[in-house]
Amino acid sequence: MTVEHQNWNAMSDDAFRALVRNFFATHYPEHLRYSPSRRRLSEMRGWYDTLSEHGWIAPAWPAEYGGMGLDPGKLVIFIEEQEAHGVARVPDHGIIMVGPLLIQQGSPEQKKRYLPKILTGEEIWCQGYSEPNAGSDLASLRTEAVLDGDHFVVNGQKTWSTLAQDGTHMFMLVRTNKEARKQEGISFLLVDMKTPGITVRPMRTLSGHEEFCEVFFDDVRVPKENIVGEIDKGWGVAKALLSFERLFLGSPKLAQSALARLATLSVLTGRDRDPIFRDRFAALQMDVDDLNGLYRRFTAQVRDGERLGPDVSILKIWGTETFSRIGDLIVEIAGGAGMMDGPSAFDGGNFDTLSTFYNARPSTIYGGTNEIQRNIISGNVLNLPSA
Amino acid sequence: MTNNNDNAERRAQQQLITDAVTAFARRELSPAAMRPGTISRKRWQGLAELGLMAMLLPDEAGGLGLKIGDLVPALEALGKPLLREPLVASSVLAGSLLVGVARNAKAADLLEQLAAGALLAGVAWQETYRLEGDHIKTTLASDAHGHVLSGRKVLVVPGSEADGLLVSANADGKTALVWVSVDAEGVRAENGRTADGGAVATFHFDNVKIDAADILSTDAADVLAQSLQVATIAASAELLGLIRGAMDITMDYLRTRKQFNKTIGSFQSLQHRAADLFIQQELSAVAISRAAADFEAAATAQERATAASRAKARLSSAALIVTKEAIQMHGGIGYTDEHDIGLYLKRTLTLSAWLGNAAEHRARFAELTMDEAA
Repeated sequence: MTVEHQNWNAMSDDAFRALVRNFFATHYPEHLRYSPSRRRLSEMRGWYDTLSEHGWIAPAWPAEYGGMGLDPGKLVIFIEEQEAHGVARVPDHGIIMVGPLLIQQGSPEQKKRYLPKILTGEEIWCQGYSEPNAGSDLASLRTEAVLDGDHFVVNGQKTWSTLAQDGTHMFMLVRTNKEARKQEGISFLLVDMKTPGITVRPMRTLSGHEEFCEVFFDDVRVPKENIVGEIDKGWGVAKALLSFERLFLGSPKLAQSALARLATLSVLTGRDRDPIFRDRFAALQMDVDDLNGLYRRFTAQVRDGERLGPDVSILKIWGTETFSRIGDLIVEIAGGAGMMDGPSAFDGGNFDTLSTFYNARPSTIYGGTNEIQRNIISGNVLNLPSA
Repeated sequence: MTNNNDNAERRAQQQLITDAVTAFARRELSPAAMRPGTISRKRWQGLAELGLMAMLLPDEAGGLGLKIGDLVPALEALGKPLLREPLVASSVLAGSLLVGVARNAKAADLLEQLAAGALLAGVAWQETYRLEGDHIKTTLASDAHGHVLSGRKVLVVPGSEADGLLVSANADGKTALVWVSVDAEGVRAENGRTADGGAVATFHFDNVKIDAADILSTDAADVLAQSLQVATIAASAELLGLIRGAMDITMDYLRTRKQFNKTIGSFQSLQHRAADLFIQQELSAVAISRAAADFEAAATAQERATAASRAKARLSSAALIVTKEAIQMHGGIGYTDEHDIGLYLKRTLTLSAWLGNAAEHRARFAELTMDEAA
């Protein structure tokens, strides 16, 4: 691994932006740009290696742990350029979730053991939070870990684990105390997916992709030292990641690329001349513009070192629902092509009518459903009383 | 690009202005003050003493030389408790026009009066109820005997309460701007009331003689277009204040009103709708600040027009969504004049339709942006 250690933060914003832009233009594979759905590890491995070799795989990690150590302002530029170029996500749970968490709360042994292999991509992480009966009410999770000598014995089932079929490791929430109040008996555990007793079953989504999995645990023995933070205190560990996740999920990129698709289809169908369509397109364009404005407001907060408040939930709601409205209009103006699985041939080009529509479906559900986000706003921002 | 120090300094200055305006608003304004439809000259004077009339005027005209972005927080603070006085119509719009033609002696005189709070002007530019293009039917005819104004203007705020009117007219294919006293011979007002109870009028000009000195410009098309854009952003800023005011009152109601032995704000159906209103409020805030910044940075007339339409489309729509929901959440009392929340809806109806409603600005936005993209 050749890490050219540079002081990125000392560069001017413009120079840094030009450097990043040039990097993506030079190195990112053209055929992977503006990917409509989540890419598998097999497709992204080359890009992971490229980033890793240049020391660019973990822009937000401190330099001492092998990251770029970007300050928040430079990080925003990095993400903006990444999105502008249409760079797809690598399987990044290790980079954006486990790594920062271990750096903050992991033991020295855990940092030493896990961080380098996230950087090289030797180990790929997946998430084990939700369960069949613990979705929106995550704290009611029941997968249990019982201490037996030097090991926890884990039994239960996780679900919606994104790309778990590609994962070598899972970070998961387990119940370690059944007597305590439900948030207080949960621990945060790191598990090697090769451990005997783990079964991964990919689930096919409505869009036809295998994006997430059910994972079954049957007497899985996990070394005691794999717990992050204190036993029974895992809820707080997990919560630290959530507001950042909401910022991430509220990124305008989904809605922006969908709007570009809508514009393309409107030309293919001739609807770009129709005043009714134009009114609705203008409204959506402004919805995306204002989403962008909101996103910048929150990223500026991060840049200035402020903590994100509960109001960041509006970003996830507005971003995903705008995305969803655009997907609806694509299907509507496609007319009969709305019945077609895969691309339809319009005069002037092929167009896959349903892909945006399908991608919009989970977006309002994952990362805390939009109903949960509304609960957060009404309770924690507007201070409306609880039921 | 402005650097951070400039931004910080500017924000600090805006904060000073906003604090002064907020203190004034607390002292002088209340929703109930909207009920009598008449304008208070004393409050108008008070607004002038705050420096509000002079904010956009250049230094040499005795103004503060500020930009639209500086005015936005002040208008927001005034809109929140409801402002009866037509600050946007008679100060922002009229003032921008007068600044645009300031080399004219009469205009300079009017500006001075405006800055002192001694002038309540109406701007008579619109001839139909649509958000119009450039065609003006009202004419300014000139011959050896002098100048004569003929035509009709609608939706002129504040109607007959104005001291005089800035009237746009077609003079040999160019746009002239003239000053006309409301009681000049040949001027007839059809007085009406806006939804919020304010004064408005249709003015008929029947061969009104105009002194050469009162012709402020004979080529004011660009000045008029740009002044209307400034006023459009300013009206949007006032609408943001209305949204914030209606939200505060309504959230307070949800936190206190009890039915079925529970505060109604504990019901999830209302909580989720309240969250959606909060989103509308935040989108509106973002839309306004970006529109003001885009307007200031704009290099072309098209960019300025796009910024103004972006702001008004969002704010007209969001303010109606919020104030209609506010009535619904209050239930029956919201539909009565006993409660102030209805005043917010009525003020919103007025301001959202004035200078172009959401649909008109979406259409304009599409015209300005889509064809270049396609």
